[in-house]
Amino acid sequence: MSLLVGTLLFALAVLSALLGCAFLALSQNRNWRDIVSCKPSERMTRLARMAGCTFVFASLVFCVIRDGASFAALLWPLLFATAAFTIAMTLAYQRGLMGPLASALRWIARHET
Amino acid sequence: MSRLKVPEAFRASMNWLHTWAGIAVSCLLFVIFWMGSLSVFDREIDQWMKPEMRIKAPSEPFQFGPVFDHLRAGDGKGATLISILAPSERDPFGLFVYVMPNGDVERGLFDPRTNKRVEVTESYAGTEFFYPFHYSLHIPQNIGYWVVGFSAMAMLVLIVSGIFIHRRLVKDFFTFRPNKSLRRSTLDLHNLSSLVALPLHILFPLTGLMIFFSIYFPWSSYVVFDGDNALMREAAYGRAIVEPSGRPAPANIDLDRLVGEVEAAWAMRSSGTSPRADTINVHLANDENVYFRLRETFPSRAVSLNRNTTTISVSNGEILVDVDNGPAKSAYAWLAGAHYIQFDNWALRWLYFAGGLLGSVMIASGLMFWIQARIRKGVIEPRSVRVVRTLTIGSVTGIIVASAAFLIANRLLPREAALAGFGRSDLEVWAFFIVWVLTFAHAAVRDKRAWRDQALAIAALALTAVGLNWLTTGDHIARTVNEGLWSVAGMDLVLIAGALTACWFAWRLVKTERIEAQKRMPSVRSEQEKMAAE
Repeated sequence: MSLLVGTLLFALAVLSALLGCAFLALSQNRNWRDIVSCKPSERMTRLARMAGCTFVFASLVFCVIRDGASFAALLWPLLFATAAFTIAMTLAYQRGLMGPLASALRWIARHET
Repeated sequence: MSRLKVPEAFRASMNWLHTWAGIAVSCLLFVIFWMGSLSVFDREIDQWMKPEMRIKAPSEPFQFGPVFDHLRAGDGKGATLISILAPSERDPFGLFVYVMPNGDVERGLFDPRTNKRVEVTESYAGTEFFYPFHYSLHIPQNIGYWVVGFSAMAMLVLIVSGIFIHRRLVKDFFTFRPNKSLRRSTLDLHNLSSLVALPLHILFPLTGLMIFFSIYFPWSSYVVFDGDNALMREAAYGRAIVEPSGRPAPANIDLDRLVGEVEAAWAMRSSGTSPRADTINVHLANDENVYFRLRETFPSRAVSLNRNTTTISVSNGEILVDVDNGPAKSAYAWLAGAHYIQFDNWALRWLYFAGGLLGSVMIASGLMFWIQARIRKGVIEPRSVRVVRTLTIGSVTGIIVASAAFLIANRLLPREAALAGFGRSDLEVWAFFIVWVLTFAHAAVRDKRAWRDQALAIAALALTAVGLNWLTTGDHIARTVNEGLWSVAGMDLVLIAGALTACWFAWRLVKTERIEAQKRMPSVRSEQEKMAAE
């Protein structure tokens, strides 16, 4: 695997892990209320949880493609831990950054048939 | 789902266990975690502390033959055992060790471009100071291994008891409230750093214990091999027993041809990969029955250690031992490899560093919470709080200050420095321990203000280390980045990042102290009013 492809896959894994953790954080009532200032609907919580799990799983897939299962067994939990800690810090100090993700979820929920 | 159904009595007993086991071992655990985090970049620290090693690793495959011939004909003439460790991407110089017939052992580094011995700055640096500190605390007679093993075991107990006492595992997963009270925010930080990396907090101490199983359970291998030590060494390490013939070895030994044949055999059974030997031990190097043990100890593209080990006779090419990695040994090799982190995967290496720091944050915030929880209970601090705070500050910020002092001593001491029979590398270690002891004394005198003082000291020392590196070697960040010396540039950048983090920590402490003092004012006043009324 070339350096470029490896770097790209790692960037995708990082991005997916961050997005996954961000959506999982938004699926929690307290975090949603802090960002959107209203209680989330049941449907919104489910949607956020589903998006979170999908992105977290996608980060695992990128890790496996990049380094194989043996390395991914270490890379993915470490990546997840770092991403979860980063999201928790974002919620604590710069929660405004999570606003666009909440808006995206609301937009998807509105247009979901 | 978010609440574990745990009986209250059991939760209370787990809480007791978590609290007191934590107080007993946390200071030590922080030291082990901090040293482990540094050990992730031990080779890079070596290059920073030994400027002669700041060369790019050779891109062409390494050949053992020329180095072996050079040693056999030169300083290692007559040696009974010659061992060579190949250079790698992280280790630009190779290592040789030879044992003379009288038992004298000589070791040194060689430059793979010339195959000649190179002298570097005398220092224990990362691989011989920070790394052994992580697993043995530099305490002799295996005592350090036992202390670290006990701490690792205690950490597993702490993790399990911590899971049971946490009431909202899922609800608190992303929770950190820095603007709440110091007590609340330290507990949040403790919970957060524990939960997000929970599998890793189990993996690190567990694999650490497994690596040294032969120390903790020395009889285990004897039971499996019915007390046959030779059989155990053969099966586990590929060691053969060959008697010397008494006749001289052939004048020319084509080591690389035999190494190539062994590597080709390894490739045949490795399904598509190209294993490369990184260690060779040539036994009976001056006897007709000369033989060598070839190992792929740290594969660059695999987690598992010791994937291939073959012992072969030089005279007739006969394979004496070919270690069979069965399922149990393969599982052990992966788990041990996951702790040794010798593979070539930079993304994973940085994440390990982050994981180590996360573990350090978990331990430090746990100790800080214990202190904060007790401060609330009375206006006057109990002695136990002051003692634990002193130990915590000395173990947390103190060891970071001492680590920075170790780097500074390395840059300030002259090349030939010696004092009272101690060499240069010993003086660096003295600097480390003297500064570390002083941080405990400082913490005892300055009390909670020591947090801020030592955080500022970390910032100042880290920046001084970067400046001294520039002054003493001429390698400033722009230059090392330009020349592609990422190990040195990375060290400097991490030191600068550490300095900024320490400044931020000091600023947050001052801010939080002011808020807490303002909050306490009414209660102190009411206490004073009550006392006056009485």
